[in-house]
Amino acid sequence: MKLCFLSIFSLPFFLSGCGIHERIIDDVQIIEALGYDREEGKVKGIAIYPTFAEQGNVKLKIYKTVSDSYEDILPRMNAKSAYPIETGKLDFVLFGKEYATQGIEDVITNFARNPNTGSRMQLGIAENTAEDILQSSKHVNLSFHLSEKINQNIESGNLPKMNLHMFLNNSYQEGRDQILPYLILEEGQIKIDGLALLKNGKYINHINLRKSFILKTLIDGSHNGQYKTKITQNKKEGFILLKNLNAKTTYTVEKSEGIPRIFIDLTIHAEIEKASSWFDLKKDKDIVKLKRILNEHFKEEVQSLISLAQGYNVDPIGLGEKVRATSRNWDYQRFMDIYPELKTTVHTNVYILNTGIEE
Amino acid sequence: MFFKKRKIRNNKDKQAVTDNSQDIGQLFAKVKKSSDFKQFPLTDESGHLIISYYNTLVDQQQLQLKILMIFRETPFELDRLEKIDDIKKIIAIEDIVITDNRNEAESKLLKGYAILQMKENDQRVALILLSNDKAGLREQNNVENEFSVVGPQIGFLENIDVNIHLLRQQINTTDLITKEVNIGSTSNTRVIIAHIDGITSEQHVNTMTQRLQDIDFDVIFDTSQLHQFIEDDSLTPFPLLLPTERVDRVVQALINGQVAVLSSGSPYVITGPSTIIDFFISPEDYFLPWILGSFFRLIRVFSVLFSIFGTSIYIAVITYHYEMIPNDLFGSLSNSRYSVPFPPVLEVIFLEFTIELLREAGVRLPTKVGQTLGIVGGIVIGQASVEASLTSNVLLIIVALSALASFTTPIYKMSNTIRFLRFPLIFFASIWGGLGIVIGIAFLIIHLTRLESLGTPYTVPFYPFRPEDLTDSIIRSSYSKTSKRPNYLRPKSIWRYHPHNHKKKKSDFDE
Repeated sequence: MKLCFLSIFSLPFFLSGCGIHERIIDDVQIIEALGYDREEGKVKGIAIYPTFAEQGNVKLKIYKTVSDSYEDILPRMNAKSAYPIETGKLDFVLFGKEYATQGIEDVITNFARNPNTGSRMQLGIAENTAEDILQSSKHVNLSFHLSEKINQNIESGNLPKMNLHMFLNNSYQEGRDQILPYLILEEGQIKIDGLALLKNGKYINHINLRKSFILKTLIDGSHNGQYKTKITQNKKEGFILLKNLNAKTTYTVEKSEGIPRIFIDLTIHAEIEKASSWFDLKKDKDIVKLKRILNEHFKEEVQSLISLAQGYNVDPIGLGEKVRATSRNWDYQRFMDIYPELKTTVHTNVYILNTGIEE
Repeated sequence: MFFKKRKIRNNKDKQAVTDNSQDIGQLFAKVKKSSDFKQFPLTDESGHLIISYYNTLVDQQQLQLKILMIFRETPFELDRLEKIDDIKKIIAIEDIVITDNRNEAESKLLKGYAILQMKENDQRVALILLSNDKAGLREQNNVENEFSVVGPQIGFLENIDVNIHLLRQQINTTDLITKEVNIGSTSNTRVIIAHIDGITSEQHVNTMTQRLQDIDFDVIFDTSQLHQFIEDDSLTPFPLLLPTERVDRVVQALINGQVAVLSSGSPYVITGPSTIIDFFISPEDYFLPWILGSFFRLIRVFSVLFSIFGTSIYIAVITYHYEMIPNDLFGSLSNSRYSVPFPPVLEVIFLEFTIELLREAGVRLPTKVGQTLGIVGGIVIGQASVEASLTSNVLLIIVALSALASFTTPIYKMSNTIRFLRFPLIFFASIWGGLGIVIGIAFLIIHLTRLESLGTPYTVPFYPFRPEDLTDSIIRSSYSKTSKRPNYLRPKSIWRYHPHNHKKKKSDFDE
C-alpha cells in the first residue's frame, strides 16, 4: 500500500522531468505586439516589448530583425534580448500590406498551434508597412494599447467582432472570407481606417469605416456605432449623425433554378445624435420623411457593399454560409463560381427612437 | 490516507492491582511521609476518634465548623458514638462513606476526604467529604478565544462541576445523562461523557465511552489530549472532534444529538461526531437573522479557501503561468517583482515564515509587549522587507490577507490546520505550478472524504450527499427550516421543534 502510494506520488514528478521549465514573470521578456513586413524579398520583423522598471511607468521598446522567412524572426530577436522572449502576452500581430498580399496564412496557423498565445489576440493590416505603425506607437507609454484600440472600436465603434479565434473560424469554414482591421497613419497617429478584405489569407482590398459599419450590422448586428449620412431636402444639404442603438439582420435564402436568391431584412433602431440646424426634428412629418430617406439610403449602401464584395469576389458577410446552412448538397467550389451573380434583395426598416438631446 | 488506522491498545490493567491484605495502617505509613498530611485524635483520649486528612486538600473552614466544633467545644458524650456507622447521625455532612476497603480510602483521601477512625488501627473507617474543589481555580468564566459580539459570553471553567451546572441550566431536563469515568493512572482525572437520552444515538455514546475507557495515560491535563487519543485517525491535520469553550456550542451539539466530553481541569469541551462544516459555524450565526448568518458563514468559507490557496496560486501564476495575469495587472505585478532577487517560492516561504514567527511569538509574549511587537512585526518588518527588495509588495498583501483570513474560523484548532495546509500546497505549486495545485487539491479532497469522526463521515452533507442536512451547513437557513436534527447523527428523535404548529402571527387587523 505504501509502495503504491509512493509510486503514484512520484509518477508525475518523474514524468514531468523533475520540474517544469520555469517562466518567472520578471525573468522573461514578453512582447505585446509583433509586425511583419516584406522588404526586398526578405521578411522584416518588429516587436514591441514593455519594460516595467519604474513604478507605474511603462516604457515601450522595439526589437527589429530581418530574415529570409518569417519562421526564425523570434529566435533572431531572442538573440538580442536579455531574457527569453515569450509570446504568452502577445495580443496584436500586424502585417504590412505587401506582406499581406502574399498571404498571412502561415503565420496565423502557427500562432493557432502555439498554446501559449491567446486566441483573443487581435490581428491587423497596415496601410504601408507594419514598421511605420509600430514605430509610431512606441511613444505611447501604455502597454497593450494597440489591441485595446481595436477592442474599444469593436465594442463602441464600427468594427465587427473579431480576433484570432474568429479569424480562424472564418478561414476554416466554407462560405465566409476573413476581414481584418485596416490601420493607417494620420498625422503621426495610428488610426483604424476601415476593414481589409482577405481571401484565403491574402489581402484583396479594403473598405472605409462607413462601409464597415454596414458590414458590422450585416454580420453580427450591433448595439453601438455611429454613422453619418448626407441628407438633401428642398435642395438644402445637411448631415445627420446617427447613433446606432440596435441593429439586426435576418437572412432568407430562396433557392430556385440554380442561383439562390437571398433576402436581407435589416432592422435599425437608431437615435439621431446630431443634425444640421435647419432640420426640424420636432415635426412628425419630417421624421417620417427622414425615415424614408434613411431606408432608401441603407438599402443602397447594403446593395453597393454586396456588389463591391462580389466585384472583388470576396464574401465577408458570409452569404455562402447562409446558403450552406440551407443546402443539402453543398459544393463550395460551385458556390464560388456563382457568387458574383448571386442575387440579393434588401429590405430595410429604420426606426427613429429618439431625436432629443444626445446622451 | 493510505496508512492503516492505528488502534489504541486496550490495556485493562489501569490501576496497579494492590493486595487487599494491606490495611489502613500501611496506607497511613505511606502518606505520613508528606508534610501536608495531618493526623490527630479529636478527643482528649489518645488513640480514640482519630482524624486523618491532607491539609492541602480539605476546606479548613468546614473542618472547623462541622467536625472540630462538635467534638471539642461542648463536652461531647462519647456514648452517642458506639459504632463508626453512627457518625452519619452526628456530623452534618452529606457525603460520608463507611468502608473497610483500603483502596477506596486511599482514592477518597486524595480527593479531599478526611478519614475518621474510632480507634487506632481500626479497619472500618468513615470517609468524610471536606474537599475544597474551588481552591486555586479560575472564577471568571468569560469566553476568551471564541468571542462573539452578540449572544452569551459564558464559557467553561476548569471546574468540572461548574461546567455540568452550566449545561444543566440550559438543558433543563432529566434526559441529560452524565457518565463519569476516571482516566489517568497518576492524575485519576474525572472525565464526564454527557448526552441526551432519547436523542443521541447509543452508538455514539458507546463508542465514545469505550474509547475513553481504553485510554492508558498518566496525567490528563486537558481534553485536547483526550481528543488526540480518541480520534479515528491520528494521521491527519484536521481536528476530527470539535473542541469548544462556549456553553451555547456544547448545548447546541447535545441538542442535535452529539456527545460531549468534559474533563476536570479543562475549560474546553469536546463534542462529536463532528463534520468539517461544524468548524466554520459560529454561534453568532444563530443570533443574527438567517440571511446575515448565511452570508457571514459563506465569507468564512471563502476566506479559508483564500487562506489555503492564496500564496500557492501566487507562486504558480508568477512562476509558470504569466499568461493568466490580466493585462492591466501585468505591469504592477511585474514591477513589484522587478527588484526581488529570489524566485517566488523563496520569497513566499520567507514571508510566510515571518508571519508564522510573529504568530508563535505573539502567543508567548506578555500581553503588553505582544501588541507592540505585532505592530513592529506587521508594519515595520513588512514595509522594510519590501523596501529592501526581499519581497514584493503584492505578495505582502496576499500573505497578510491569508494570515488574517485564517483567523476567521471560529475554532482555533481548525485555524492551525489551515496554517499548516498552506505549506504542502506551496511546495506543490513551486514544482508543478497550476498542475501542482490541482494535485494538491486532489490529495486534500481524497484525504478529507476518507476521514471519519466517531465512525461518521467527516464531509457528510456533501459526501456522502445528504440534501436534507444541507439546511444548516454552508447556509444557515431560517429556523423554520432547521427544525429537524441532522440525519447523519442518527438521532433517536428527528424533530427538534415543530415550527408549523404555531398559529399564524396576529396583526392588528385580527384583534
